[in-house]
Amino acid sequence: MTNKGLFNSDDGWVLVASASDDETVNEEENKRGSEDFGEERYGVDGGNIDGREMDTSGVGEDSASRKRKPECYSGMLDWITKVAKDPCDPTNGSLPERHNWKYYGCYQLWKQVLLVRDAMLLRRNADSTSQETISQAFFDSNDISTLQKKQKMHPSLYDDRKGSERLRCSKRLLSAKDSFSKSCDRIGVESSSSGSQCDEVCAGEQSNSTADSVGFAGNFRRKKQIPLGPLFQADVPDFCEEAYKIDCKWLGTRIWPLEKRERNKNLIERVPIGRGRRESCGCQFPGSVECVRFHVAEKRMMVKLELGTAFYGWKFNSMGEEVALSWTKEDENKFQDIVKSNCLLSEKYFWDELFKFFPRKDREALVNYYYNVFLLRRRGYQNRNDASDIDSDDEESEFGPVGNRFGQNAANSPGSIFCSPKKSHLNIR
Amino acid sequence: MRSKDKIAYFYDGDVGNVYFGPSHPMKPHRLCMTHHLVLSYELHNKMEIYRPHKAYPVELAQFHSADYVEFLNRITPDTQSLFSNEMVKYNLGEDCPVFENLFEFCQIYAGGTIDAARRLNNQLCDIAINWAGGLHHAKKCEASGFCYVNDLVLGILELLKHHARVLYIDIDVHHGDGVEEAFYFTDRVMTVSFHKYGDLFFPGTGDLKDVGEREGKFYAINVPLKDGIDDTSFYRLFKLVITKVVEIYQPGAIVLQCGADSLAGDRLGCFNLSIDGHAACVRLVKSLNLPLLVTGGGGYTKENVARCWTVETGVLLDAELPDEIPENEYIKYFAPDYSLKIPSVPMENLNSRSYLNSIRQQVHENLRSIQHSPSVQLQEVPPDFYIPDFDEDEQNPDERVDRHMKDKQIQRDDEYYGGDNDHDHDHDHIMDDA
Repeated sequence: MTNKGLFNSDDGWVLVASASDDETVNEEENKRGSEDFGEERYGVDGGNIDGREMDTSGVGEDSASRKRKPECYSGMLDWITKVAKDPCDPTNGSLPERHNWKYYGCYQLWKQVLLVRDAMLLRRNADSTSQETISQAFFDSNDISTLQKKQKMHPSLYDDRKGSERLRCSKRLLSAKDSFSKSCDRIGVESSSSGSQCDEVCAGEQSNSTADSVGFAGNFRRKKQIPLGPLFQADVPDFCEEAYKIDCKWLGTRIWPLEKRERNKNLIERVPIGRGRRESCGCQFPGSVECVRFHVAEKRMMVKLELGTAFYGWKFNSMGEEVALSWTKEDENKFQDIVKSNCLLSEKYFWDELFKFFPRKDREALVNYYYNVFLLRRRGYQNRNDASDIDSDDEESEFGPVGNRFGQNAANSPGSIFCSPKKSHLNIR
Repeated sequence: MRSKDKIAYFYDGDVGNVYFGPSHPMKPHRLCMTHHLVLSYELHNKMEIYRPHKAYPVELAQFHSADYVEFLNRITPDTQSLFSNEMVKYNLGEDCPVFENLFEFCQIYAGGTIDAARRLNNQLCDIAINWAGGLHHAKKCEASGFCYVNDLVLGILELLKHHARVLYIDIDVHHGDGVEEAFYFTDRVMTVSFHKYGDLFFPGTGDLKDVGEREGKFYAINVPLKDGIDDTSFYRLFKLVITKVVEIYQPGAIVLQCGADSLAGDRLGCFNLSIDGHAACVRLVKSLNLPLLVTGGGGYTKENVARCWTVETGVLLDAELPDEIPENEYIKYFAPDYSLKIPSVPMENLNSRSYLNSIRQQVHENLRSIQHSPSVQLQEVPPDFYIPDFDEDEQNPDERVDRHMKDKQIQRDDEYYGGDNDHDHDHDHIMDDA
């Protein structure tokens, strides 16, 4: 154990260390002398975290301990969860001054957190897994300032980078718990002596790597850098005061209101703008399937009369359940069967089957049918059966994991806009 | 306030059947639903509706690199496996799948924004709307976050031919990184983005401290927010920031990206805004009486997207819409209430007052830095805005000033909150003064 001894700072820093599974820190422990802190609770005496055996050989002593199993981080993660749940809890303690960090061994949970953060931001090679790199961080150095020195680069160095070296918007999402970043926020905020150095520290090259989209608040933020250079910024010319040349081309083709010669001579009841739905209709069974169908058809007729050519320009003729009129009953049944039977298979997507089975119908027609008939009917059914919890966008439950036509899982990539850490139901199964 | 704004609205019937792929959350079909809903409320009778021209590759290359545009034009789902290097280079294939008619889709939505900008430049309308646009993540040389071509950048470049300064406002839940990056070095475009930041939320940029570089320093404003922000908090902050920005920057035109994923209940978002709250922002920007280009953006619960953008079309047309949705082909999507209102979600607002206040202060601090910028022709700002009541240098640095006192020196107690500090219940009329 690279125990460098502790610095008992004058500003009343309190040791934060995990004493046991319940990880509470007593005031009494904190008041002990610095030598006592060498008897580290976390890890050295093999305290079990979450019932799993800790690697007690200590960091840095044994090369076999380089590749740490994921369980060894659970103590740190538990601590972070605790801090995140109640950042104002005095038992959480606080960070020492930045210049004193190097004196602390990585048996300190806060130190582990900082090292992990550094490691994740340092990663340059797509080859190293995050696991290895984190282990590496523990092994390599307890000296955060060394790590940080390696990374210091001025943003202007990026100016002439070639495209292949630029910082790319990574797709991998950090797989750590949400609370991880929250408590790092806390750590960042607490320490006062971060200085402006951190602002200049760049995250370095990041290929398909995790943890580049970091949201650590506070003065230590090692945020995602905005790429700079001719490959990224637009060419904005200086403003000329000369009169703008009126350019009548490419202003769009007017579809509505209709051209004069096209103006509809039919008498159409002009509905006041924004009237909304009528309170009552004359139907025998208001709200029934027939009533709805009648009124929708009635409205559709009115719209068609009013819009004239615009009706076709906007493709209203291929909207709504009327689309089914151009499909045979047999085709409709087959469509339904294909969707239902393929929805639970992970590798097959019903779209592939649909394309295969309907070679004469083009993709647009199939998509059109899907949105205008299939989904609408499904919604109609859901509305009447259980209107409380429906979502016509929720295809995951029925249609399998997210992916494109070729079965590639988009949501496998962390850092994807798909993956919202809070919306776990969207993440890959 | 102008008596009547002339509105140009852009729509192309071909967007309805664009399909990103199975279970992909971006569904252009939502544009079809929006258009339908707009018509069912008869709003088409108050505006002119245009079909945009499909933007030519050379127009797209006004911003994007020529090779990227060319690749987008040529790649198809059947050939993509042959170009795996390029697919990686241009960031295609995962979030941004290659699908049938991809390029045509890009041409439509980009053409809409470009045509909208041109109509505004030619003063043929006061407000131009293109709900198909607003794809703010696309970068110069790559796709990102479901966005392939950045129509906003192209539209802004068009507006810059006629206006010295353009203000870009983005209320999508995601940071408007593509637009900010494109204009990071210039003071001719001020980008202001309100977004969720942190917890590794996409795209990861949008820090409060990112303010621009070189001539563009302090011409990028980021308002990073946490989960669950509600109407009151969001609108207050929005109003304070935007009115200050417009006062100081004095843009010739405004581009407003209205991503609907900042609404409560969005599939990918995590805010708690109602449609009224979202639309209040649109109303405020309209009230600034500047040439205005409004686009769509994110929004992954398509019924809510349709509701939101219909309400906002109404706002731009000064038409108050009743909640009851009239009969239309897609009425079933709006069950069970068939109302324009979306259900609110019980959600904790993680944005504390002090947090929002500190953001506001920092933004104001940054804005002060452009007061004296000679390259931007500005009126002289009345002095009482930025001369504090106290002289910081004369204060005793060793004497502790408690936080409240410190805050008071920078901002009056009631500047951010109406009245006392702890008003939690007075949201009823918050939108009315827009």
